[in-house]
Parts: sequence; C-alpha cells; structure tokens
Amino acid sequence: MDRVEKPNVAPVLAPGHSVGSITDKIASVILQKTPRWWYFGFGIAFLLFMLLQLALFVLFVKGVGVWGINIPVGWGFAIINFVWWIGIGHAGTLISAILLLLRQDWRTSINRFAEAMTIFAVACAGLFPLIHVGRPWLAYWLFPYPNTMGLWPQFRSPLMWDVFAVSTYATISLLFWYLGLIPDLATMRDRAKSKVAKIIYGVFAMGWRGSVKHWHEHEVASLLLAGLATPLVLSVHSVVSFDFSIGIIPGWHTTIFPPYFVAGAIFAGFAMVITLAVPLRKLFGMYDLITERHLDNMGKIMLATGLIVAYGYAMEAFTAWYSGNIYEWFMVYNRATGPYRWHWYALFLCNIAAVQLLWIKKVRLNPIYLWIIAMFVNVGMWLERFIIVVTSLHRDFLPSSWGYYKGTIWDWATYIGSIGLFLFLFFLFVRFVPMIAIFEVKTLLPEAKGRSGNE
Amino acid sequence: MSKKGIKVDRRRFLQLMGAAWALGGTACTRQPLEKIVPYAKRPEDIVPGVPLFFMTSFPFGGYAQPLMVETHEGRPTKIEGNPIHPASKGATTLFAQASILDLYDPDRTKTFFRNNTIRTRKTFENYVNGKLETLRDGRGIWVITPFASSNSLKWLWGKVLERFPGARWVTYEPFSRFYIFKGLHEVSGVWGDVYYDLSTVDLLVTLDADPLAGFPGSTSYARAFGEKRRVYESEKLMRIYSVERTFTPTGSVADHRLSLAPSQIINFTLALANRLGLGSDAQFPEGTEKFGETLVNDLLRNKGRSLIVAGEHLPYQLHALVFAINAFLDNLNSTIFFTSPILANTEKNPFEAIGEFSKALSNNEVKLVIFYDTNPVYYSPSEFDLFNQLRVSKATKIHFGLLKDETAFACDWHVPALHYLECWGDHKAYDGTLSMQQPMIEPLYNGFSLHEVFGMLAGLKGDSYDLVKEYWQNDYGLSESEWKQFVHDGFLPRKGEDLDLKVDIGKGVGLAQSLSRKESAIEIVLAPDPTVYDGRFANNSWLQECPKFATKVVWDNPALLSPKTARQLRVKSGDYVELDVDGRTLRLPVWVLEGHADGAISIFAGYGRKAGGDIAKDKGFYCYKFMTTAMPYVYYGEARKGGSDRYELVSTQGHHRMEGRHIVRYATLEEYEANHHFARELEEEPSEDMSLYPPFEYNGNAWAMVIDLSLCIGCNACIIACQSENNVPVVGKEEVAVGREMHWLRVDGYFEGDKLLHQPVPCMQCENAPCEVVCPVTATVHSKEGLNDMVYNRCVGTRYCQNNCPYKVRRFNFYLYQDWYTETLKMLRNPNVSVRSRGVMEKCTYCIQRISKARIAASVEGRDIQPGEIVTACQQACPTQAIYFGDKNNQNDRIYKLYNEPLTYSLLASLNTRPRTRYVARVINANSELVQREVKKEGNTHG
Repeated sequence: MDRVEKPNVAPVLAPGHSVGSITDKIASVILQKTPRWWYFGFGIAFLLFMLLQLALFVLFVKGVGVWGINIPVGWGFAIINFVWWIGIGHAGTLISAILLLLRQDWRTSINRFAEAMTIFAVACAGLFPLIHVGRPWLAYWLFPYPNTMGLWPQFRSPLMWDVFAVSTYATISLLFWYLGLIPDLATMRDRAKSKVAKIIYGVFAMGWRGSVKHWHEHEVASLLLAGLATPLVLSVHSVVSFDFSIGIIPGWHTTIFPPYFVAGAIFAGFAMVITLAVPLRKLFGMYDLITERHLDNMGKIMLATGLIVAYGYAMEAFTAWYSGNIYEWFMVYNRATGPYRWHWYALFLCNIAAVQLLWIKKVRLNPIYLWIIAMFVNVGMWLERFIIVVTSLHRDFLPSSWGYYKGTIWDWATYIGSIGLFLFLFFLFVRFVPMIAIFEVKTLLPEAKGRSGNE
Repeated sequence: MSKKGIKVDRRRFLQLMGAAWALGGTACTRQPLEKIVPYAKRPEDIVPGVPLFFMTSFPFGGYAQPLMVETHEGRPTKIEGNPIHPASKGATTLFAQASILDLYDPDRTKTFFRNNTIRTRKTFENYVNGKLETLRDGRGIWVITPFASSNSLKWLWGKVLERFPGARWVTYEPFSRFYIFKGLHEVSGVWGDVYYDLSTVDLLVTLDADPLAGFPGSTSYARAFGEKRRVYESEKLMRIYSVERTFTPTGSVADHRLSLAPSQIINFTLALANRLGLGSDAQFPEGTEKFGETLVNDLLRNKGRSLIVAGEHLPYQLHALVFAINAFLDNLNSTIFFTSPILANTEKNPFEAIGEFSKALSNNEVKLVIFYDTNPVYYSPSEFDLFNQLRVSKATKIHFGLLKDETAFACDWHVPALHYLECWGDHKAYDGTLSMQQPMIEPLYNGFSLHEVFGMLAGLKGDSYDLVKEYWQNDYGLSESEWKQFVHDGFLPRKGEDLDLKVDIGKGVGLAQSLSRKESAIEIVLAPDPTVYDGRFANNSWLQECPKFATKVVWDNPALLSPKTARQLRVKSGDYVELDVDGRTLRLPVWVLEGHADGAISIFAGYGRKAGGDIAKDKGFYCYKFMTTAMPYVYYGEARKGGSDRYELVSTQGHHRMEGRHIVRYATLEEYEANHHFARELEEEPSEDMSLYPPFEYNGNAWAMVIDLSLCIGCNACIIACQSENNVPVVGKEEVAVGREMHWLRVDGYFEGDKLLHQPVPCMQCENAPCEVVCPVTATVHSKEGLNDMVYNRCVGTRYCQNNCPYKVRRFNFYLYQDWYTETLKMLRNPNVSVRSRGVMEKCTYCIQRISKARIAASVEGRDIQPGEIVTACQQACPTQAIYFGDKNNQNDRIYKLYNEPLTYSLLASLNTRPRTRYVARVINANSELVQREVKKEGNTHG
C-alpha cells in the first residue's frame, strides 16, 4: 500500500537518520552522564514513594479506618485508584499489540515506554486490591491455591475475576515488554563501557547474538504475544467494569459498562502516554523519533475514545430516564444536583469539553496544548471513577442509609504515593533501559522498508 | 573479629549468646502462681456452656422492671424481661437492657476512699459506727437515695428510726411523678399511685405524655397497645390522639397528632373539659378546633373505654383536671386505677425535700449525710448550690456510688455501691406487684447495698440477703416455700391494694383554670434524655451511642425545635441557640425536628457531666440550669441565635424522607378495608425464576421474620438487646460521624406529612442475596435454612457485600472496635457469639446462636423445633411485640400466617432479593371526620 504523505504532516521518523545514528541517539541517553534534572525528578519520585510506604505502614498498623470509607460508601480512593491505574495501563498493550497487528508503524517509537508505563501502572493498580481489604495479611485467599481448608475462592464474584484478569494482563504485558527489550539489551551490552553494566545487560539479553534464527523466533514470539495480548486489552477493563456492573447499586448495574470502560481506559492510557512523551521528547531531544506525527495520532485517538466515553455518559443518563426506574433516575439527578455535583461538572469539563479542542490540528500538533489536555483527561478519568464509585454508593435505595464520603489525608497520601511509585519506576526505566525500541525504529528507515517488502 | 580481642570460638559464642538471651527473657518476670483445680465437684445446676436464667428486677425511678437474666458460669450476660411477670411479660426497656453494662463498667469505684486516700472496709465501718455513736437521737442524720418502692427498705427505715428517731430519709430524683400524685391528692384527698389498663382502652388521648415508653408501666402498656393494634387479629382497634410538644414514641404511633406548646396543651385540655360540659370557658387554641371537636365526639362515644394521660412534667393542676375528665368519662376503675402509694415519700415534693436538706446544711444542722447511688450535686434545682454547701459543711459526708460522680467529689468518703445485679432487694412494679431483686453474681468490688447501709444505720447485722429475707419471712410472713417461690418467679402473685377513690370533678376544673399561663416568647421544656435519662446512664456507652428517638442523634443532647421556630430564630441544625429564663442563660446547639411544636424548645437533661466516668465526662450540655423547685420542667423565657459558630451534632440517619419510594407503606383503616393488598400492589415483585442461579431448596426449617410497622414505637429496646446479645461494639462519636456505627439492627425514621414512620431494619436474609454472589472468598454463604451466614474467620474485608447490600445492614470493623483487653468487659460478652476483629464484616444473623441452641435441644430430645421456641433478642425485648420470628415452612407457626398476610410486603421487592424479613404495612385507625388531614401524598414513582 502506498502511503501518500500530506506535506504538512511530519513523517514518523525525521529524515537524515541512519541505522547507526538511531542506535547512537537512543543508547546515548543511557550511556551519557546522568543529567542533573534526572536526580531532581528521581528524588521527588523517591520521596513520594516513601510517602506511599508511610501511608501503607499507617494503614497496616491501624486498619482501613484511616481512610474515609464508611457505610454506605465501602469503597473509596483505593478502588478509584485501582481502576484509574489499570485504565492507564491499557495504552501500552494497545500500542504494542493491536497497533502491531494493524501494522501501524508509527507505534514503534512510542511503544517501549508505553509498555513500561503499562507495567508500572499495573503494578500500582495491583497494589490497591491487596491493601484495600480489611485484613491484608489474608489477601492471598483471593487466589485459587490448594489448601488444607479445602476452600476455593468464590468464582461468582467479580473480584475473583479481577484477580485472574489483572494477573494475566500483568504477566503478558511483562513478557511482551521484556521480549521486545532483548535485542536492545544486547545492543546495550555491546555498547556499555563499564564491566558491571556489560554483565548485567548481558545476563538480561539472554545471549542474543542477532542471528537470523534469533530474529525469526523473536518475530514469531512477538506476534504470538501480540495475539494473546489483543483480547486482553478488551477483556481486562471489561472484567474490571464487572466489579460494578454485576452489583445491584444504581449507577453500577449497567450493561454499557464494559465497552465504556474499555474506551475510557484507552482514553486514559493515551493521555498518560502523552503526559510522559511530551517531556521525554523535550528532555532527551527526541524530536526526530517522536515527531509531530505521533502527537497528531495520539491526539486523534484521544479524541475518538473521548467521544465514545461521552456517548457512554449520555447513554447512562438516557437509559436511567428511559427505564423509568426511580432509583436509576435519582442516581442521575443526584449526580447533577447532589453534594458531588461539582465533581460531575468537573468531569464534563475534563473529559468532554477539554477534549473537543483536539478537533483543531494546531492543538494536536502543539506539545504544550496536548500535554495540558492530557492532564485534564488524567484528572477527568480519576473523577469518572470517583463518580462511579462514590456517588453511586453514597445514596442508594434506602434514604435512611444515605451518607457522605470524603478522602482523608491517608487516602491522598496513598494516591499520591502510588504516583510516586510509578514515577520512581519510570525514572529508573529511562535511565537504564532504552526507552525507545532501537531495533524497531530502524524498520522505519527507508532502507529497511526497501528490504522487508512488508508494505 | 580482631585477633587481639578475647578468643571466643564459635561454640562458646553461641553458648554465651544463648544463655544471655535466655536470661534476658526471664529476668524481670516472675510467673504468677496458678493452681489447676479439677472440676471434680460440679456446683449444682451449672453445666459449662449451658446458661442459667434467674428472675430479678431492675429498679428504675423506684419502680420494678421485672427481668430474667441469662448467666453463664455465674456471670450475667444478657437482660431479658421476666416473661411471667405481669409488668413485663418478657419485654424490657432500653434502660433495663443496657443496665448490664453498668455492672461491668471498668470505671466503677473499686475500693473505699476517704478524701482520695484508699481505706479498708473495716476502717470505714469503724468510722461510721463511731460517728453514729455520737448521734444518739439521730438528729442531723440525712440519707439521700433515689426513689424507692421496696417494702423491706421501708421496714428497715423503720428500724433506723427506732434507733435514730431524728434521722431523715430523702428520696430524690430530678424526674418524678410527684405532680401526678399531687394532682390526685388535690381532687381525691388521698395520696396514691396511678396505673392504667390499656387492654380495656379503645381511645387513648395523650397530653404531652408517653405512656408506651416513658411510664413505669410502659412495657405492660405497650404490650396491651400491641394487642389492640393488629388489624389482622384484634377485634377492635385502639385509636390514639396525641397532643404533644415533641414526638414521643406514643405520639409517633398516634392516629391523630397535634403539636402544641405546653401552655397551649393546658388551654386545649381546658377547652376539652369545657366542650365535655365540665364547666370552664376555655376555647380550643386556634387551628385545633376541628381536632378538638372530633376528639370530644370520639370521647363521648367511648365513655368508660377511653383514657386521657398527661405528661409527668405538666403542672399538678392539669393532672387534677385530667383526673376530673377521666372521672367524668367513667374511666375510673375501668381504664385507670389507683393504688396505695408505691414509692416511699409519695406525698413529699422531692424538690422541697432536697431544699430542706440544703437548708439544714446551711444551718449546720447536718451531722452525717449519706448519699446512696444518687447525684444531687449534679441534678438538684439550680437555686441550691449543694456542691459548695457540702464542701464547707463540717458534717460527715459519705457517698456510695458505682462511679465517682459530682456528688462524690463533694464528700469525704466515697464508697462502692453495689449494682442491682449484685445484691438482694425487692421493689414494686407500676401496679404495686411485689417483685424480687436477687443477685446474679458476687459483688465485683467490695461494696455496700442500700439495705446494708440501712442495716448499718439500724445497727443490724447481716448482709442484704439476711435483711431482705428477714423482712419477707418474719415481718411480711412468707413461709420458706413461698419465699422460694417468690425468688424463683421474681414476684408475688398477689396484687397490691387498689384504692377506690372519689374524684371531685369541680375541684379539678377549678384548679386548672387557676393555672397562670404566662405569655412568653418561647416555652422551654426540660425532659429526661431519651437514652441517658437524667444522667445516670451517661457512662453507659451503649446508651450514649443508641440513636435518640426521632433525631437519631448520638452522644449529645441538642435542643429540639420546629422548622418554623428555627426559621424565626434563623438557626439550622448544629447552630447554637441562647436560651434565657429570668436572666439565667444556656447556650446549646439545636436540632430542627419536624413535628415539634412551634414556639417551644425541648431541652434534655443528662449531659454536661463533670465527673462520673470517662465516657460521661464533658459530653453535651448541662441543662439542669433552669430547674427550680417552683418551675422544675417548664420554663417561659426567650431564645435567640447564640453566635455564628457551629457544633458538630452526629446522627446515624442523615436523611429522613422517603423520596417517593415505597419504603414504609401505610394506609388508613378505611383504605385497608377497601383493599387488603394495597401494600403489595405498590411495588411489583419479579417472578421467582428471574435469577441466573438455580433457586435454593428449603425442605427443613425456613427462618423468617415479620415486623409489624403499626406496632413499632421506636423505643430502641431492640437495638440495645441486639447489642447486648451479639457483642456489638461501640465506636464513639467521631466514628459515627463518618458513618461507621455498628448496630446490627437500626430503627429508621421517616417523616411524612405529620407522621413519623418507624422501620426497624435487621438483615433481610434475602433468598437471592446480593451479598453472597459478590464475596470473593465465600465468607458469606447461604444456609439450607435460608439464612445468609457470615463466616467471620473467612472474611478478608473487601466490603463488596456491604456495597451491594441494598438495605445497607452490613457493618464493618474499620478499626479494632472491640475492647479485647478490659477484664470486666470480657465477662460481659455472650460466649456463644464471636467477638469480631478488625477488618471483618458483620451483620444481623437472626440470633443464629439461639437457633443453634434450639436445634441442639430439639435434636437431643429427638423432636422438631417447636413454633415459638426460638425468640430473637430483638423480638424478646420488643414491648409491643412488633417483631415475630419463626419457621415459614411450618403451618402451625404464627409466622406462617403473618408472612402470607396480604398486608405483609417485602422491602425493595422489585430488586428480586426475596427478603426473609418482611414488613406488615402500617394501618392508621383514623377518624374519618379528620381524615382529610391525612391525605397521603402520591409518590412520583414508576414502579
């Protein structure tokens, strides 16, 4: 297929690069002296990570009462954060698996760190279900393992399904990421100057020598994993949405949730990719590799998924009205007029209004604007989960039991701390691992195209 | 390791370290000496694990509340009503239920103190006896106790007077029935006590009175009320009119209710007398004419079957008038009965009595004063400054008390008193029935019972058992077998002596007309707190956390006022109001209560304690400030907004409207007769096969509960009974504020029109339970009898079940709420119910331990569980018997009929949860002449 590039759209790889220059460019990020801003950023991330540890210490010593949860709002920040992180974790796999299968070559320069982001986000997400339970030391009871009690978990529970969905997703994502890293680790092994680094990279490169057989098997394994990961992109967040839609509570009990959650996850995931890509591009001068074309495409995906999410909101309200169910309708009414109405309005501002700017090409191509819109979406998607979890629970069927929920300082500490954990891992990643897939970017070179005959 | 250092090889090093470690472990602890004694000689009747039940009675306001107490291996754990006693029939008040916690209160005084220094019992006895030697004629001896009805105590006081003729015995409590006694005395010339027989009443009129929950005979009255309000069983329904200042339990179930300020209530009653033709020229207050006229007609139709009851706080002149009206309506000895005085000092105004004591203190005429289990420093009228009077007095001041309260701080000696479950005694019930108080446990701390104090004064030897028995056998003349029967049954099957009185109707009307009705901006009424009463239960955390009637406020005593008055004063709930009565001011937060009378403010005693235990101290606001001998309860004063700051009031229920949902369903009797199925028709229940999962089969017992909403008066006895039975923890005001109260059973209240609708909500034990499917670890499972069993050990605390419960009956241990460490509280707990830990979900189990007990008993005896054999704690405590429990598969069980009664409906039936707990819709026995007022608002529902 011949692509007719419009002159005003940048190419996915700036012209003038050779095989060697790409390797130099990407490997130099690791091989050069650690830049000062890295220490600064890493220090802040580390402090926030310590805040998470403090919050967890307090939590484990005192109990989940340190959070704002209560009766009727039994889930709060922990579950909101869980869904938020797992949503963010969707972009990486989407980019590496689905876009790989769809042969979207622009993905190559962003897939590595998007995958890394996925793994770190899933790690943050996976933390929350374990710590949010009342007796975290028994959280392993959620896993099916043979035991002397002769008890299995209760397989009808969506939380049980979550365990499988999230753990499968984490495993596949990690394998996929690591598999993709192997040739680049071998490159680093060959380029590293210090002995220790050579050994470490060498161990992780698993003896990669770049033979044709290696490349062939690498290709096959990548495709297989991509095939496995593709349904996961759709299934994980569908299963997470079952946590709510299987419930009986108005605002949860909705069949629209699985597609709406998946779209929301991709929306959130791309927002986070942009949030990370824009500064990385600037700080490492990767303008050649992460071009305007990438920004443009990611903006378009955000716009598309944002519109699906907006449709989800509209349908939720419409169905509540159309069903004639007083509890459903009250739920919508309460979101618009109840004590959390400002959260609802803010949600619309972030997830619907702000995103509409992406119709404008100039905005899509401007990294600053794009980054600001992505931040709006990050906040908006957190608010969306807050609305789903809290406003549905706080006023359900019996008015006598209505309540109010407010996050405590430890809720915030845990949330911000989890961002700390994420950044902590991400800073280590950009410092020690090639953040852009060297060998894949090379396939974008004209000479690669000529030889592969793929297109 | 350095080569120059001491040479220690590996083995030596390990030896030394091991020895050091072992020494370190043993250094400072000496193992206590413990003897293991085989249970070779089993005490009679005690089988470990099998509880024993004993009858006793709980003195409250002097009157006996007959009890049956469950004891496990010699420690009382649960209070129940004495099922064979006519004053209880198995029911209890919330105070009686909670009184067991006072026994085990860790704050109790444990030893003898003289000016804060520990003394021995011997020193104390020698001191008192030495002091008594110096007071030969007894002048200057004052004994101050709560109200008392005990025969043996009166007899002992006679013995004291033989030794000390000048001694004085003052019985004092801030909330007394003296105005009733005085009113009766005015119109009949006789001092006596009054009680009612509601089983003969077809028309009950309450004037700011609460006979169903606030009178000495309330459990009995409520039982009779229940019998007369079951539309599916009762032959004739009782009708209730309430004219009251604020919602009372009785007023909340009234068919017609009018809220009026106290002065208007007096006017209303006078007008009632006028319209009945008793003389007087009063007219019904504006806006109440129709209500009044209808009531007059109804009263005339129900002569001899009606009853008018006025609140204890209203002036004696009004009580005189009420006796006159009752006499005119031929109610005497038909619905209202009189008995010779039940309480000691019936004819003495308690405020005047405490005033005489105060005067004697000022005149230095007091030589020895003994306070027993009473706290006049805290709750005597404000014109007496007893604290400072006592402090400067040279008299010997002895305080016997469970707790070191305000009065204890003014005394030299503070001595442990005994809890009523620790000592012998006797009391009279509301109708004079002689009731036994026997101890359930040896005194936890070395103290004195009131009988022993009187015995010491009289110079008699022996403990409370000897003294009580001596009276009943030697003075009263019971034989040994009769005595044993008395102790066994808890009461004597002989009634007290009834009085046949003549009531002077004219005098009653005349007295009431002479009542001066002061015009004032606002009328303020002081009432006992619904849960901590006059302050005596302020250290009882169960009662502190028990949601107060109508407001559901906990741990505080806000002033109540109507929405209109609040608008006039420009205050909202939580704002302060400043009350001013003759220059004395009180600043306290308000709670706006629908259905409260306009122009009136209700304030509640019992808070603002400065001593008396860690829980009691510094909670709420001190409201006895306005109380004077002349005007003890009703004040005419002014109110204004008290500043811009706010106070955090915490309520367990934040929203009191049904929002058009069919939660509490009700109809008038006429509507019910037109359509018996009205309640079920309000909501469609999906067909039984509307579930993905196959239905459960219930071939054996299928437990179910039915709660009759016509009968629930919102008295909260069930909540405390549940708390006591199921070891439910208390969480404190801060935790309730964030919505973490732990009560397994709650009583919801909804305001609708002029009604307050109560709805007790235990676990619904759904057949299609939303909680069960979502638990990831199988911690809540369905039993073959249809219960949702909660497996605490398996629960990891995801809280998904609670989120998914549409009734929100599940409770979570967000922290370690249970006190696992206080020794006395360990004795309190029901050994058959797990004490839950942190991070675990819990909820109502239908008292599964009682089900298991019955199942085991039936299995041992090789029979089926009989109908009525299992009684849940809430059901047992309920005075009106609004709660039924049983096997819905058993056609002989009463529940079978009730469960399938057309009036019975499932809450939130459209969710297809198939609750095992069902509700009987409320039926209002409205008078059709007034029914326009009762038009039910149609909800904006679509089903």
